[in-house]
Amino acid sequence: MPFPKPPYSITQYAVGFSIVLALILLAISTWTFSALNRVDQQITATNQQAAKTELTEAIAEVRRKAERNAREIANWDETRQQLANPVYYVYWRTARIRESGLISNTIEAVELYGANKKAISAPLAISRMPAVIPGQPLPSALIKNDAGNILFYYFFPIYADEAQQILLGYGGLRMNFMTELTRLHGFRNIDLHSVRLSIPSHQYLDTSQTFSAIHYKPLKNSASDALREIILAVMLRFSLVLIATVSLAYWLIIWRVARPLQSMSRYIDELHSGRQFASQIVLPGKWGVAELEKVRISLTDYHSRLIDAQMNLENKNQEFWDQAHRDTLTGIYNRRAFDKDWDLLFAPGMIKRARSVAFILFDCDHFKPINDTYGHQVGDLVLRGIAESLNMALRSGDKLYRLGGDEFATLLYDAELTQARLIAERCQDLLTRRDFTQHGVMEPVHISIGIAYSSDGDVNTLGKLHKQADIAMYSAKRPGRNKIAVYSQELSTAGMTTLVANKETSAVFQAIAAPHLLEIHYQPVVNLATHKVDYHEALVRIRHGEKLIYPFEIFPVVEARRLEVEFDMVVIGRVEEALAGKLLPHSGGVSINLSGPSIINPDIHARLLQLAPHIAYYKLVLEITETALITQIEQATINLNQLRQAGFHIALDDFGSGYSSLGYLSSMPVDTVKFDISMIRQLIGQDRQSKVVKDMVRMIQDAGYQLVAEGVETELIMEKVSEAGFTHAQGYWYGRPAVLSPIRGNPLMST
Amino acid sequence: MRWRSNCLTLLFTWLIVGCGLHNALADEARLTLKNGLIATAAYKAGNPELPAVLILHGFLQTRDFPTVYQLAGSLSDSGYTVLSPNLSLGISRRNKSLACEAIHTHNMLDDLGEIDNWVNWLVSKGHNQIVLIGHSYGSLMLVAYLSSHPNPAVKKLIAISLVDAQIDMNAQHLEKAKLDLQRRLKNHDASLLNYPLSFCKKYPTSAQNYLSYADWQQPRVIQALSDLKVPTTLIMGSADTRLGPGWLSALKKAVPSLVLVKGADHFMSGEYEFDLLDAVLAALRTPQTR
Repeated sequence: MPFPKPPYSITQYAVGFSIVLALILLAISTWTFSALNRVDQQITATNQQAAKTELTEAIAEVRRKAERNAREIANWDETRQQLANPVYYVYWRTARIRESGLISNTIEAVELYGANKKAISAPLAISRMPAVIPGQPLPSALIKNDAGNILFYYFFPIYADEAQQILLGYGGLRMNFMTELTRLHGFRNIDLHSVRLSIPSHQYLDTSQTFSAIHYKPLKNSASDALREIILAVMLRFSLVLIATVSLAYWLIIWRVARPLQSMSRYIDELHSGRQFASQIVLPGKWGVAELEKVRISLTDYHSRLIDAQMNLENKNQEFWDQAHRDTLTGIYNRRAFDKDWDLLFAPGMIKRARSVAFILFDCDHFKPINDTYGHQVGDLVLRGIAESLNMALRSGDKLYRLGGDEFATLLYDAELTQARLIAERCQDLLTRRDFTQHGVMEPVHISIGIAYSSDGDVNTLGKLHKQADIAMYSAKRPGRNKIAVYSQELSTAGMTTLVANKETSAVFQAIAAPHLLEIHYQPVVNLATHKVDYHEALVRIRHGEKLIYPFEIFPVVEARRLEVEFDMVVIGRVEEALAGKLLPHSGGVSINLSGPSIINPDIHARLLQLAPHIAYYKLVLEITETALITQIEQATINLNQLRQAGFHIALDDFGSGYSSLGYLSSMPVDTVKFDISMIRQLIGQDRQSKVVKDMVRMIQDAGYQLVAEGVETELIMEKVSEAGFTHAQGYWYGRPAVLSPIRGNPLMST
Repeated sequence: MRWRSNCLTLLFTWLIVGCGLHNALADEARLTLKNGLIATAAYKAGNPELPAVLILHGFLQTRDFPTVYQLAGSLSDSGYTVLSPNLSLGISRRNKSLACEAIHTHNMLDDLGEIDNWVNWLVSKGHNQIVLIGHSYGSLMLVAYLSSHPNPAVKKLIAISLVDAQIDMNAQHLEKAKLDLQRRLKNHDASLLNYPLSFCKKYPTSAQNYLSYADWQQPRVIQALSDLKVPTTLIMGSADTRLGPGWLSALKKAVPSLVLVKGADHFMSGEYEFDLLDAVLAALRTPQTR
């Protein structure tokens, strides 16, 4: 569909109207001039004809006058007297005929000729009469060009008798043709001054042929000329009045209508181009057009209303946008907003602008246990608290996104790595300061922070930021690590990529799906009193081709994927296989690590109870971490007590790496406390820490708990552990984790 | 002026009354003169028993002059054969009166010869009883003619309003003019000069021609009248202002049979034309005795 042609502006219409009017005026003028010319031509033709007729009549009149005079002369007795006896002819010619009054005074010369047409007396030169009558026949009227003077001659016969039978001779008379024309005729159609004769001097021309040689100009018709002048003057005045009127109308249209309309048009164009506050519409203050003023008022009024509506709409849009891009729980930006901003980061121009970008990923540690323990409402309050703390720690303008669950993120543009780290630390600090006990949460809320940084603006680098921050965050989440980790190539090579890499993740999933891929390596736990292996701790490995994947790579994936229950279920299954197969030594036992979610999971609980029959042959120990126990202490306590009642021993793992609260310990349903290697190493020294550890060992032992020292790798540590009062020890000094077959061959086992 | 007024009156009368008479003189007689000119005359034959009448017009006039024309018509109507010639005055077929200012190439001798031709023409027509009637200057010419050309066929002369040459000059000028004329004649000077003659103040002619007329002044006329061999009747108007002083009485002395029409002017116009006619008829009826 063709684009419709835009309408013309009022200025164009005004100009067009003026042009059309000018053309009409021109056409009328042209037509009038043409008509005047036609009339002029007709009048000229009429004048020509009238002039010709007038001249013809004038010549005829001259001729008639000549004839009258000739007749008088011919009939005059004294003429015949002269022809008979021209003794006194000269007197007669010069005087007598003049004084006789017989002929007109305008007859300039009279001459008499004999029958032989010769003058009876030599004509006077001044008379310009010929000596011999020219031409035939007679009478004849002739004209002659005499040095510019047109002379009229009339030659006539003179008879002796009335019957004109007896020819006596001839007479001739001459008149000045122009004088005669002037005297005879009041010319109205001929300009007498223009009459010329175009024949050689001294040549006579018969008047019947006059028009072939006589030239004249018709007089202009004064009436028609006057009429023409009047019409032209009227037209000129009419044109001037019309031009003045059109100019005034044009000026009025332009200044009173077009300009305001153009102002309105500009106003509308500016509005159309998005300018909220367009320039004012300019209308002439005086002599303006009421309708335009009305339109202007309406337009500005509508514009005001439109602005209001737009403001409302924008507010609504902002609300909608907020609803769409804000997390309803925390009020911070949601995953959608993050995705958009993330995409904008790769938008043209943005990359260059954000040469340095720090991606900070926050993840709440053990949020699920907290959520499960205190309920969703408390979990929501914890998330809000985390969001508020993080938001407060960020710079003005930095956006905090909730990517999902307990995971938050922010993008710091144009920030140095150190600054990003400081911001992360501030986040940690503010969150630590926050009091979550008001919500009933007694446990401290920690977050793990991963930082990825790009300073080269490279698209590929930017594209990896999220993944790198992920890796860093999981690195930070690892037990015993700083809670803030900055991504580095080392982290990647250290296997943290398995957290996010498909290869390691798929290996975990494959192990869950195919439990035979899960290898259980057993490490002995020695009773220090007997120096015999009391039981073995089942440590999981995943066979992935020729490579073994170790727990430090497995459990971040398991926790990240929330696969604790499924994974523990497989481990339990593998251990049961060993128990059922009698692969473990008699009078021994096995300890199984349980994750926090598994402790309270009814399926795991039921599955563990299925192992109860093996208790008659083996010591079954369940190792749980302090954190896993705390988060859902009540359910965990119930389940663990039931398991204890079924004959299971409960060991608190990694004591000393977390809160290590003795208060909590007393309330926990555990039988054994496994000191973390970090506390065991402190026994080597003689400092206060060593003493504290020793005191704690003594106090826990006094409370009736069995104590296991992890990380006994040297003889010195072995001695220290023994001195401290530990009941059990575990470490390379006693034996490395190994598959079942080597267990049988282990010399310690036989000890 | 008075003379001109009278002429106009006569012309008017001729136009009203004389048209009928014109037919009576419809025949035109022509004579070829010895100088080649053609002279014409109105001729109407009448009763052969009655004398033929030759009526001669006045000075520079024609036969159509009212006095002459009416008289001719009346005489013709009365049974007379009437011949009314136009003296050519040097103009062939002259039929209009000649202006004073016209070039006068004629002279008295020419005129008398022409009269003689016409008298002979009448004789040739079988008229041997001829009465000559003249008016004014015509009467003078007839007197001169009869003085120089006696013809047995001419039986009577009736001279109406007879005048002499009437040279309007005083005696001193006249003598001087005569001397000049004599000198010119002697020198054969034919140049035109304006002379006073009769009622013409300017009469262009040669000295010779002029003298032929001017020589007929009162004494010569009276003498000629006295010497005429034919009976002569003079008919004069008592109110004729053109007559010179003493002219009428001189005529009475010379011609006893002078009829004086009381109250009539030189042209016998108006009611006097009847008196004229009566006088002419009476004279015609009078026996030709001298």
